[in-house]
Amino acid sequence: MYVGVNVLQNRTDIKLPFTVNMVKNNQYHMNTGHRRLPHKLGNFTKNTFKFTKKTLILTFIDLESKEIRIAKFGRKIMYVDYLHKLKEHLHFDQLVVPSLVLEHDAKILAAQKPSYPYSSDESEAAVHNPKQQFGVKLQHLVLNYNSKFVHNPKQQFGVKLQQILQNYKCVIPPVVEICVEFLRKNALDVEGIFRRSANASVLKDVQKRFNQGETVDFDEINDVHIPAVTMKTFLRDLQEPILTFDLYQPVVRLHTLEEDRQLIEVQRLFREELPKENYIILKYIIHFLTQVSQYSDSNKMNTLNLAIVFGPNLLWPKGQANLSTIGHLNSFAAYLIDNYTQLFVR
Amino acid sequence: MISHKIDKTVTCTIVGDGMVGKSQICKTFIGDLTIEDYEATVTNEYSVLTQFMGDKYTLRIIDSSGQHDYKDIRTVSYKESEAFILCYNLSDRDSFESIETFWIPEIRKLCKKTPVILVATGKDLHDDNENNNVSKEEHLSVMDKYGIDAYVECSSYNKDEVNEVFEDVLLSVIKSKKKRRSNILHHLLAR
Repeated sequence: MYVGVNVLQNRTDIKLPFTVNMVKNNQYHMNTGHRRLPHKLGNFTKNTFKFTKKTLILTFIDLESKEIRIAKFGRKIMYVDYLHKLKEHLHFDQLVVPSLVLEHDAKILAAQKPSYPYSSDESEAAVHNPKQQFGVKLQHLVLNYNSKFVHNPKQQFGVKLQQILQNYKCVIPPVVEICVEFLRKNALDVEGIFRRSANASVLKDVQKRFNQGETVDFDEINDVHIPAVTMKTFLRDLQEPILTFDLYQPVVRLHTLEEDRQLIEVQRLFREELPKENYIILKYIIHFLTQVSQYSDSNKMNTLNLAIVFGPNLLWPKGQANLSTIGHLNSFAAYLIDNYTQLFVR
Repeated sequence: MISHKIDKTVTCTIVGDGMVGKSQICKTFIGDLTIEDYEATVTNEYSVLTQFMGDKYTLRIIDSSGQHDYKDIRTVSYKESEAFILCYNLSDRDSFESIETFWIPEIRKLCKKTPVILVATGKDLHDDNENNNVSKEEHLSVMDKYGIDAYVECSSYNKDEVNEVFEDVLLSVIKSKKKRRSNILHHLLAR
């Protein structure tokens, strides 16, 4: 894998577009010639070249090579908003970053910090008056007037995934993480885990507490089916399924492909069509389900059972589900669990 | 005799929480003796020829998924059902509580008057922990509250007890048909 950091901007005060290429052996070298991305990048160019929005582009491609196939390039691009986020991906200390870029990064970072000491949540401050229509971002308007939940920024059930990730500043929604961690410790060998139902009023209470941003200690509840059902309900209640509506048709049609093509197609879907946030959460969940299925001797939840139980919670159509498509959705869920290692390579 | 001309095919849907033994009831009834399996159901349909009070009936049994998430698929057969077999497990309190919180509302939303037979499974495996067991008073109060037509306790593996369930199904279907007919008759006479 080639990792290159490409810092581009079209701001007048910084006149140094450059690329840093990390070659395979972790050595960096920098090119300071003016280098442009192929102008056919379409959607990317407008946003990314503006220094204010997306400063750094971390590309998984060798920019030196002149043959950049556009489609490939597009999918290999990822964004980081701030320099420090690069640390997750490469050895940031070894990177030569011009001081101007550093300064700017510090400036926008400072601007992001909450100014009002009593509101730690940035979005909370932004949604100060939820009915504000003038002088706010369009997204706020759409959110406020479309969603009944917006008054509660900690809402986790029945909202959009992105909203949770933004409001909680996390990668895995807290509900999912807490449930999975608990189940992994306490319930891998429980018979019928995920298949049994749980007490409705306790479930309601747990949901309420999650929606208020509290953490729920399942040790106190003393019923392993509560976190299991909570997790399923969370996925089911999302405004858009974790696999997204866009993937519905491709997944339902997957069985028409030959077996070896299916793997390639699913890999492509995950790489190109599934948003990265969704992919990470999906990977987390499926990985956990593979662990559950390893205990199927004691918990009786083999891949097939897990797929039946999770299938309709991972993906559903916009309208009504019907019997033939649900079969395909379930076999897709089974396919994900069975082929975890090949499918989730990133 | 007019009463002999009634439709002799009776459709019933069997519902209830996951793992209470719905599929096992069906299997025991049709005489499928394969050893217990633990496969979750999406949906299944059985047709059984049976005799009841001297008449021959074809019982169409629709085995549904206990997963609440399968609502779309399960409710497809609700409208054509003439009776519901609503199951819970005696040693699983949550499955009993779901009857009130989930199943009755789901059924009554689509089928206001269809008879419901309450079936308590797992008669053979009462839980030692008394807290989990469902008492007689509790199911009686649920029956009263929701106008449930019959109550059967059974083990999903006991052929005789399971037969009793389906006899109750046929009985309540016949009763409700008679009732409907007499209602129509009353209606006509009153005019």
